[in-house]
Amino acid sequence: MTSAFELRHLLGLQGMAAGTITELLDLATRMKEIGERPIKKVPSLRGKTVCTLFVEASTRTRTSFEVAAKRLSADTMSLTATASSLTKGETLLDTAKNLEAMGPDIIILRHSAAGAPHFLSRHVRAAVVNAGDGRHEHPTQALLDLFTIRERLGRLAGLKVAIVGDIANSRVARSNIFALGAMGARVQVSGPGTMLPPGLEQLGVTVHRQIESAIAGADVVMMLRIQKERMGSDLFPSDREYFRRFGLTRERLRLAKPNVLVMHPGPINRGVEITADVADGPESVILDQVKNGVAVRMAVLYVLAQRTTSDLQPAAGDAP
Amino acid sequence: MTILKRLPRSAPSRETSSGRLVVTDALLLDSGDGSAPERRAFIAIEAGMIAFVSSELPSEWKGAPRVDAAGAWVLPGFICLRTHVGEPGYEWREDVATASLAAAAGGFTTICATPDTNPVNDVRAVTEQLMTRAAGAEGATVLPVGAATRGLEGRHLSEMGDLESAGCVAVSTGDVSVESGQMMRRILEYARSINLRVFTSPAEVSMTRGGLMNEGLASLRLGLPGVPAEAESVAILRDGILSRLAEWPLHFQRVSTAAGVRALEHLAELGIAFTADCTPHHLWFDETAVAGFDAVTRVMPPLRSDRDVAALRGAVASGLISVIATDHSPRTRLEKWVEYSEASPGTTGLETTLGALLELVRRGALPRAAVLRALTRGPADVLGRADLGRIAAGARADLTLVDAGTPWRVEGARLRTRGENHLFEGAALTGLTRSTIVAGRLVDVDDSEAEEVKCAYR
Repeated sequence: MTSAFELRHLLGLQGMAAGTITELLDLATRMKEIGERPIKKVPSLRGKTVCTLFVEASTRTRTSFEVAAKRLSADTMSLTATASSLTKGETLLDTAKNLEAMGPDIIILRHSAAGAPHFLSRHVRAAVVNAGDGRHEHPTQALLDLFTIRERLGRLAGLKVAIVGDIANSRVARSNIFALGAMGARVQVSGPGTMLPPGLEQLGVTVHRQIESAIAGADVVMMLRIQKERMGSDLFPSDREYFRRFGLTRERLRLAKPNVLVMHPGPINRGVEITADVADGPESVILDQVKNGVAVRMAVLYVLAQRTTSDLQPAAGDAP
Repeated sequence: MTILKRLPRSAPSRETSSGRLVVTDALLLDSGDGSAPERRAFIAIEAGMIAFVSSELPSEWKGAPRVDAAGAWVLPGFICLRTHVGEPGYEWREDVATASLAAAAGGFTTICATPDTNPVNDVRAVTEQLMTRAAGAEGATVLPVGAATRGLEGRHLSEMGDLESAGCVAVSTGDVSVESGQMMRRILEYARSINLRVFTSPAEVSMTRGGLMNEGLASLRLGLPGVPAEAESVAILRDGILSRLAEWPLHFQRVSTAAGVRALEHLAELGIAFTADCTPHHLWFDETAVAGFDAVTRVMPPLRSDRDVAALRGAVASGLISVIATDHSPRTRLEKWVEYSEASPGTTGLETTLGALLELVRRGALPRAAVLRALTRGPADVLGRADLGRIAAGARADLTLVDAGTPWRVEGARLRTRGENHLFEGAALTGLTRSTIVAGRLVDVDDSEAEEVKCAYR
């Protein structure tokens, strides 16, 4: 097993060992405690520079990373750009090289293209954290989901986790499927046929045509945001029909275990994928997820910063 | 292991006073059709044609300049039905001169230039410009392929008659199928009336658009939008059936999937005439190569599954796919050092095809006879050229001398192409071109001049 402290970058959770994930979650538990102190700051990353480069809009994730970096006393800089302004002029590589000239230890990249963090990691010295790349992965989101489940239910192995929504196009679903699978949870997915690509079973999940059978007996129900901006007219006919067929209502939730957790990566479309009373109900841990996001991201920054101190290698050209 | 891939600069010089050239001690291989059993012979060349092939050299030929083929296979010059020469419009990637030399370095004596240039080769003027540039090229012969529709947009027929009379050897629908079935039917009917071959790269447009890799387990893991194999099989079946309606055979380019192979088998069962090609990279790589998001692995059609690779090899072995075409698509580093979705698809191929295929032969993955035929006689038959793809008296003196057993490792910087996107970079291949003879002329593919041109563009 690779120790979390041996990670050079955090590009995704595919293939990450259970022990590594556990190590990160354990560390996040200690980080969470810092956030509950009257003075929410430790000097661990003093003198380190953390840069967020968001080439796709996201206020929440960027803020969460920045809070995490600041609680560890890192200096932060932030760069946002739309993908279009990048393609018009500077390439991603040029932008990153310019950033690098300012000497960041860690670059946190959000990008609409799958694989952009992998590409960047081959060309810069800094550690790269994937803060969401296209439809590929969103590793810190999945880590905070796992953290929240473990905190509430005490374990991950053997749990039944239902994930409902646009599995085909969701990086949150993908990272969760990889990480929950590694931790021994059983993942059951559901959504309209257009959002369940053929061969999903090969990722180790069970596929349910009806939401009811996916959430029956579930310990956790994770609802995905319906991404209107990503939808062609060919994925589903209307919000209304989506809600009727796949929306999480109180009646449907009764099929799950009594102490079920309801999760959502946010932002929520109330009345589309989830009713307001479920989103705000006692089963909902949606705000816990946001809170835990800071702790998990502190843990990630902490381990990567240790690595950049001891191992400042030159960038390895374009070799994978 | 690294072998300097440099062809001899040596005499005889290109202009021989008598216009004669003799290839001595040539080992001729049976390329699968029984026309040339394995034997040693002299090949006598005069005025660009093969005068005779004989075990004895008549005394009046004794003084002719010679190329010593001892130890080499002597094969008909290879023919590529799909090369992107970059000209006009994309000269930073390649031009006719560099493509022609890169082709010769890879053993090709004839390359067919795709029409997806800027401007598109859909009018006589572009074809004529290409013909002029081709006449000055020092390596392989360049034959233009015209666009079947104006701008390759699939909406209006191009002036195919004009294209044909200006020198186009075929028309093509471009990188994807024609969207409208009726338009495809009209293309075939019209091409039949002027006896022009039609090339199509089967890809149902609406299922292909936006796709970055093969749809399958790998795309599921990587979250990249996929192109399903069915986009290919659906297009093969539709256009195959339309070609029967129009009574004009199609040539399918870049078949890449097991589903596509099954569709071709189905057409054959229906008695529909067609020919088909595939690329060397689809015979070698599968979709797992994409895992690190290195944009060099972005090609169209995308790299498919290992099952697809196996099916393609089977189809080449059986002759169902009778042609291997490089789909040489040079790009600069700048066009590949970007996000995967932003990268321009394609890989170079002219100089790695022979080595890749002979390595697959060495491993037992492909039969030698089928491979050699797919580079020579197969494409010559598609073009309807009885004077190409064979070694016999009266054929054009296009010959390739191959050191078939030489192992080498691909180093992109040493290749003659201006392209910098080599999917085979670092691969261990088998077999090098020793010399290439185009129309009786020994090609000097020494790369020092090409290197200067390359530098000027960087």
